[in-house]
Formats: sequence, C-alpha cells, structure tokens
Amino acid sequence: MTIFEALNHLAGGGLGGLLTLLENVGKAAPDLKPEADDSLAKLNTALTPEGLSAVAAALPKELGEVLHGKLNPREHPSDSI
Amino acid sequence: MQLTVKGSLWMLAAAVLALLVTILAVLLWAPAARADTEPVLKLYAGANGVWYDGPNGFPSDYEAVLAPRISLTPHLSLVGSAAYGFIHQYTRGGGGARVTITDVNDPNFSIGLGGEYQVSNDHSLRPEEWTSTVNIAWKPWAGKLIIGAQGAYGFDSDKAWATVAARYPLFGAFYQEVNR
Repeated sequence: MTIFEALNHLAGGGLGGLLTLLENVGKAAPDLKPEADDSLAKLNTALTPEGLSAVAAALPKELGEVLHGKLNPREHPSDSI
Repeated sequence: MQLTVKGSLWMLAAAVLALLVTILAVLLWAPAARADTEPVLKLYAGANGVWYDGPNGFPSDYEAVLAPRISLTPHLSLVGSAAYGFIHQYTRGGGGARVTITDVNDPNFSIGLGGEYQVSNDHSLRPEEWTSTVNIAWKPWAGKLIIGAQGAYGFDSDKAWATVAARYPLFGAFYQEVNR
C-alpha cells in the first residue's frame, strides 16, 4: 500500500477528491491557480516517506516538551477544519 | 428521551471546552499579542458543505460550525468542533488530536491528519465513534479567511464523508513566543 493509498483510506477514500478540488480551484479561479498549484506541490512533498518520517521523528521530542509544560504553538489553517 | 440526549450532548461539549480553557488559564498567562507570537487557544467560526454519499452534486447538508483549537507544538494540536446541520437538523460535536504533516512554519497552508471522537444526536448520519480525518486548508488571500476540505472515515460504521469548509478566526488567547 502506498502512502497515498494509506492516507486515502484514512480520509474515507476522499483524498483523491481533495486533490481534484485543488485542481478545480485552479481551473475555476485563475487568480487562485498559483496558490492551488503551490498547495498541490506541498501536498506531493508531504506525502513522501521522507516527509512523513521527519514528522514521525519530531513528534516524540515535541510530546516530551509538552509534558514539561513547554508549549510552542503554530498557525495551521487545517486545524480549523 | 430525545430532549435528554440533546441536553446531555451540549452539556458534555460545554463542560469539556470549559475544562480545557480552565486548565490552560491555570497553566499559562496571556501577554498581549506581539510580533512572532501565536495564541495557544484559537476559536474559529464557519460553515461547511458536507457530502455523505460521495462528493457529487450539491452537499448532503450545510452546517454552521464553531471550532476551537489548542496548538501545543509545531506539529501537534488538539481540535474540536460543534456544528448544526440545517437540512437534516442535527447537532454534532467532537474532539481529538491532529498532526500537521506540512511545513509547520507556513501559516497560510497546511495538511493535518487527525484522530477524533464524534458525538451526534443523529446516529444514522453521524454515528458516535472514533474517526480518522485528512484535513487540508489554506488562506488564499491576504487576510484571515480560511478555506479547506476534509475527508473523514468512521472506524465503527465504516462510513466516509467529505467536507468543504470556510473558517474565520474569532479570537485567540494565551499567546506564546514562537520558537523556530
């Protein structure tokens, strides 16, 4: 199973639809196409073994910092969905 | 019976949210927002289009949503939601954790993978169960409006649904310096 297939399963089969959504945004709104293309490129970068391994490697250290009461927040638009 | 279920759902959601805010208020203090600070707690309001039968045609339902998030670390956040679906007239809520898998220092685009427990008063549409989510969102214009999408899967029901969302931040609290 590829990474895309694994994430697609987690998304209930909807990940392909999300990719299509990004592509359709670029087609429907030309002024948003650069952002949509940029987002697609970032998605492809994230969905690699190296990208996901880097996240997995960072999590234990971050969890340790939380347990020590150190918070280091970030702005992530996807946290609002 | 139905009134009791509805009341219990909102009371539970309100109690959980109040508890989280209280814990953070005890642990943290909130300096005024400065450059390169980020609020730990942020509350968004917004709207969803939800497809229960596959992303074809018009949404199955439209929801009004309140969504708090607690950002703990660059990759890890606690997320929640309370929503009302207008067509099927249901209320639902949920909460869990989310991991950002894209650049954590990009405030305009992110993808997050989540594990969240869902509660609802319409179990045929939104069963009470653990779910996995894939969330993608970005700020397409200079400003605060966020647009995004979510694919979700219920582990008990084996159901899946897709959501397109718009969000706007209402307020933030408990600002912390961002250590990059």
